[in-house]
Amino acid sequence: MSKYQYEEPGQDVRGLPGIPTEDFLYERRSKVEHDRLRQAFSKGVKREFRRYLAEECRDELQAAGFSDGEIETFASGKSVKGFNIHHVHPLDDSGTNDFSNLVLMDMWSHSQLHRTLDPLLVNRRSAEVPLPVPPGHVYVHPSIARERLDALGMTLETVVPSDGAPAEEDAMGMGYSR
Amino acid sequence: MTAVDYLKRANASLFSPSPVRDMVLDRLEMQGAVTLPQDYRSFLAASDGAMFGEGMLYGCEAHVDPESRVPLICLSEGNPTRRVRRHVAVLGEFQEDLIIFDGAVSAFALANRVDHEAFESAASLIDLLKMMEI
Repeated sequence: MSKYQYEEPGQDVRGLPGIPTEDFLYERRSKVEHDRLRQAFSKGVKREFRRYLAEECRDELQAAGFSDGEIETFASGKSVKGFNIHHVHPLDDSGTNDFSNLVLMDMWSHSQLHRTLDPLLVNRRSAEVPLPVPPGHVYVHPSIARERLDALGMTLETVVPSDGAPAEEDAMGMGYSR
Repeated sequence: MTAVDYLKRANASLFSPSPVRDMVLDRLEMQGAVTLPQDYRSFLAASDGAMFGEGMLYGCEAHVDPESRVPLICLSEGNPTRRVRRHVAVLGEFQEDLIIFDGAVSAFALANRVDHEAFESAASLIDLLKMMEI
């Protein structure tokens, strides 16, 4: 068992199905640059990213159990309780505020991801680490997504054709559909 | 106004008080880690954690490391797998930052996850919540 709760490289982070890791060289950037990026994120980027999610990732949001009302909340740039935005490549390192580096995550999974990753970075200026890389722009833990879909009255369907391969995978890749 | 009142007004989800709260806090202080201020103790007495907007405040019960049995609001100095130094308690998370109480300067603060360096601080929990625009 990995000391830091990772499976073998390329496999999912333990407890976070669907989030594989990639080998990554972490090299801490200057505090000034980090603070500048963080401020830009807080002051505007995160709101723009929520609007982008509502406009461009509606299917992903619906598959993760977000209601139409919550998607409208994102469209207005506001947050939905229990979810926040994760920088895949950390702002401490080479990460930027580009939308390609941002993922909406449920708070539990986000916390779990950082509890796994952060100890590898503490007191380090440079380190090779297995970086968790959630696919797409929305990651909601399957059990949480299932609860949310149930609450919306949606059904859980795993579409598996006779050849055993998923015939029609939803945007989350988790087999949830209306 | 208490932090709980403030969070209720902000429509936060508040969790039931933990039956092990006092045990955890006593243990925390016995370890000499940090003495939590009265307003945070009052918060824990009324609500064992809260979820709001893009953040959450931990409680006690869900916060005990199952391996070490050390409360996760307390991290031992010098242990890189623990997330804070002595006199600092991690109280929660906001966006990608940590919400901490730094006993050395008696201040609540938002801090970087990796180096725990505080970048915004306030004298009380409510003041910090306001700073976060909760």
